Amino acid sequence: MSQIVRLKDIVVRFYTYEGVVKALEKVNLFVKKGETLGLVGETGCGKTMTGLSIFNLIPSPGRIEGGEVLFRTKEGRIKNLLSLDEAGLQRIRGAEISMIFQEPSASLNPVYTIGDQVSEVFLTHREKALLKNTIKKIDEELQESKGELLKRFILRFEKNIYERIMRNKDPLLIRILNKIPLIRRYRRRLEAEAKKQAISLLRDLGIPDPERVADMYPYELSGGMQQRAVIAMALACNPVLLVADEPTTSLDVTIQARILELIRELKRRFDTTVLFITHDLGVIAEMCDRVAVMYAGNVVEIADVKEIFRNPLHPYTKALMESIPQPGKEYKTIRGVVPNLINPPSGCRFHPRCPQAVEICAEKRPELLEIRKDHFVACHLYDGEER
Amino acid sequence: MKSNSRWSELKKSMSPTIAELKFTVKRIRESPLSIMGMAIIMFFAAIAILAPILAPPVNENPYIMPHDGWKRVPKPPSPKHIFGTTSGQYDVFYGCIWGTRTAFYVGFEVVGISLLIGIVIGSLSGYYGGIVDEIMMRFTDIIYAFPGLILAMALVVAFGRSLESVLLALVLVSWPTYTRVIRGEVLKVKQTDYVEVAKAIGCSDFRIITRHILPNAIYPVLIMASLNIGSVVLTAAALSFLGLGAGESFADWGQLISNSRDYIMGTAANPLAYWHTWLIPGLFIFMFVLGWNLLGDAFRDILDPTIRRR
Amino acid sequence: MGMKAYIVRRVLLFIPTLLGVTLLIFAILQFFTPEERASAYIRGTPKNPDVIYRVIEKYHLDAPLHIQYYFWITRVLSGDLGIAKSAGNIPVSVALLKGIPATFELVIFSIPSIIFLGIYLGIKSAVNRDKASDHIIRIFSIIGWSLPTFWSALILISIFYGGLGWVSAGRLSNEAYGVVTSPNFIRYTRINTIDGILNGQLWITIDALKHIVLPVINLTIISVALIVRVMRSSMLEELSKGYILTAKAKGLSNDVVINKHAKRNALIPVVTISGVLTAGLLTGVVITETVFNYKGIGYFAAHAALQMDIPSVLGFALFVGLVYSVANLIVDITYAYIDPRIRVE
Repeated sequence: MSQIVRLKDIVVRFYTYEGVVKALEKVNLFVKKGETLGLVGETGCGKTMTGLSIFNLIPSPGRIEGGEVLFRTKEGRIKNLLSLDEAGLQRIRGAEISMIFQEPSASLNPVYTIGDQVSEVFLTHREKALLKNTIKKIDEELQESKGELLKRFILRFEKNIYERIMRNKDPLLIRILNKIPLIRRYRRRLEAEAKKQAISLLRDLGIPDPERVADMYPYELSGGMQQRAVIAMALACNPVLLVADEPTTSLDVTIQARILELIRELKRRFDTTVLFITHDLGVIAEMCDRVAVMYAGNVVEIADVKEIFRNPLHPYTKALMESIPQPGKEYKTIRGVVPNLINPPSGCRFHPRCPQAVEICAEKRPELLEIRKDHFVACHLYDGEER
Repeated sequence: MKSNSRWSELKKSMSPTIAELKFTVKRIRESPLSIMGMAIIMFFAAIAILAPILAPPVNENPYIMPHDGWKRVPKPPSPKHIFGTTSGQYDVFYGCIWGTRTAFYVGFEVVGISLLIGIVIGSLSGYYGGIVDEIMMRFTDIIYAFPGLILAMALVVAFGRSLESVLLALVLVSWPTYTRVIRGEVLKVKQTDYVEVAKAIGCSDFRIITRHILPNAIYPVLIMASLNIGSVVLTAAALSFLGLGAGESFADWGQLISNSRDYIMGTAANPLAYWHTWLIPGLFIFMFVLGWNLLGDAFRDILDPTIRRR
Repeated sequence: MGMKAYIVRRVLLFIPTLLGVTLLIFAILQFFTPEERASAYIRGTPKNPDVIYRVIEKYHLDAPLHIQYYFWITRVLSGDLGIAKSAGNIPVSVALLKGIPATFELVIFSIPSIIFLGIYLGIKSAVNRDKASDHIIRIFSIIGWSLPTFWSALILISIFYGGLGWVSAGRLSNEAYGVVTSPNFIRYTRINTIDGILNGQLWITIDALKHIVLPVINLTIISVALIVRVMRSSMLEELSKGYILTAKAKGLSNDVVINKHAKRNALIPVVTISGVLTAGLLTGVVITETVFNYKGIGYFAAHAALQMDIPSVLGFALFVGLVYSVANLIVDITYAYIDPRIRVE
């Protein structure tokens, strides 16, 4: 199986007044085509930042200070997203990789309708197809409207503009035209076409009465419906990779299950690869093929989902597994506190809390190594340095 | 003792406020704009304090400007009058120096009194709510229905021309702002647990308001108010300029300009003949207000939780 | 749907505001004795004191307050605000009506420059946060905010009128004024720039524009800071929100993210603050018109204040109170139009 995306030694730092937050320290990760990779860890361990670094969208005052994000595009070319220019990135974002965020109400713009926000994706990435359809429609109307001179004139004018955009002729003229209110109305056909596609997409996602929902503002929808709209935006262009950042955390339990089911179904239908970010091991067990465990800005263990539950190797993963409440079993917490990332512990960042820590753990940072087939661990207990 | 644990509770609930305060002070010290503002205000404070030395008073009341003759035509700067004289031969230098005191006086007095009114009415209104609150808020609405300077203009015309009228008019137009803010803060603090606790253990309303609510609600208002000094002085200067000030001989920046208003446009041959009559006092007003606004802008940025940490 | 109900509710709320505005002016009037109030309705100074007593009786100026208010408000509603002694003994309402077109012209030219410049600079400042352009914009806006209106006007007038001899103060040059006041020039609107075009005398329009440029600049300098500040901080707030990240993750260009997604939301506080902007303009107009000798209602009010002309100042204050309340009404409705969430509240 080929890798869709590979993160190599990603370093992310945040420059705040309190100091430099070392949010990600050499994160290594890859996602295989067609799988669902779960990314699990406590709040603040850098899961979301890892997801955002794929988009090269670390919010300021953060910066990506090193590493590579190698991404295989639909055309099969491999690109380093961190060295791509802004225009190149924009072509990929939303079209080839897209993201679902934790809080659906925050990820929708409150002053635009759902239809506007979903069709925007089509208008951005599928302009050519939309143009073709619209021109076809104008041709049909031209056929029908024999004799109506004014209407024919307007239609011809619009067709002319559309064809110019299509052939990418006079981009400056088009840009100026787009600034003039009355003339800009020609875009309405394009927008109507995009909206039609948006509505059909919303229907596909099981939103009842999609025509009406498309004209609603985000605040008029329930959390579950909002999240469906966000998923619609993410899947509009049939992306290769979907990054889902705790998509169900802020939803009611009953709706959570439905959204998870929806993501699973869509993944099958659209043949999408998913990077699923969550702190919930239950969701991981249910959704994922493989799991990457993060701790304080590092990936500490990657393995098959079954392997990780049956045979966790890293002491942190072990502790995490033991902290799952189970009937009849004693509930354990991890001792110590989550480290401050302005002054993170030296060596292995987990060593102050690790029950099996030895001297070298405080001195040297363990590398992520493949201990068994498809089982990667970053821990001195396994790298042969000590034993 | 039980109340002891409540005190520590209270302290705990206050500790973020204290941390916040420390953080604010730190940011203020780091911001170049606020340092500039602070320096300007310090400079004016020095002028105000040293006024008797810089410009020794001649009259019994130092705020009454001495004048060198009665001629209407202003005189340009000379060794005797380094900033020149206004129409009526009032010394511009003297007026500018003692006008600094007037500016501080007007600023502090107007802001202080309106703040006091705001605190009393705002906290009562917010704490008790109901009909009192409703009436007070409608009252502030009415005052809000007028631009401040224009209402102040009408009030000074009604009260008669004097410094007291100006002060009273400015207080009347500015108290609603503080009342509203205090009321809003009180409404917020009222719902916190420690106020509920204080009520439950039977503290009197007076004690709850003065001991528990106000100390928590007052902090942002105090800062806002102190920074309004600049705009109060600006409005007062505008009133003086319009001829609604303290009177011809009173040492006040706006008044100085107003005195020579018939000569501001200069003569036909030299339009800039009397520049000193308005440019110098105007510069004093501008710098004074600028100082407060620089400080105010830095504070606003620092206190605005949405854009604070970068 | 919700929009209509909201507008109706907001317009109904306007009635108590109107009542409050008139009550406050009426209350200020009570500072004066009935005799002083009566003289407001008499042209010139009456030689015979009987005249005053007749007016007091006729206008019920010593009746109980509620009756007085009733008679006063009916007179106000019929347009009788007293006599403006400072403006040559014409009725205050006539003086105001004469001044309104000039002031309107000034404000209409100022508002677009204030709003567009303010929004543009605010966005620029926020997008380039903590960079040089941000600092420069902020310092200039603080300076504008701190300038005494009359001082900046005096500086402009000395440099451009006095120093460079551009034009003279006033609304028109003497020559143009002669033409405008001549009988064969029809003053359709009393707005000189428009009347010039309507009469087919373009040079009048140009002359009027030349005279209006500096007052407009002065009003812009002192008011634009408000918009810049609000736009900057609301833009910064919006740019840090979740939907901005979503929009970027959708592959939208920075231009679209800023000018479509963030801007629309960031404009909401600017709309709210435009009420305050109106207040600033109404005050700025009084001083700017006075300095530039530009004969609108602000000029009228300032001269009335200088001569302690009570009915004129209070009539002006009443008028401004009404205009400001209407402006706030419009602001609230616009607000509901921009922000769909307001309508449901």
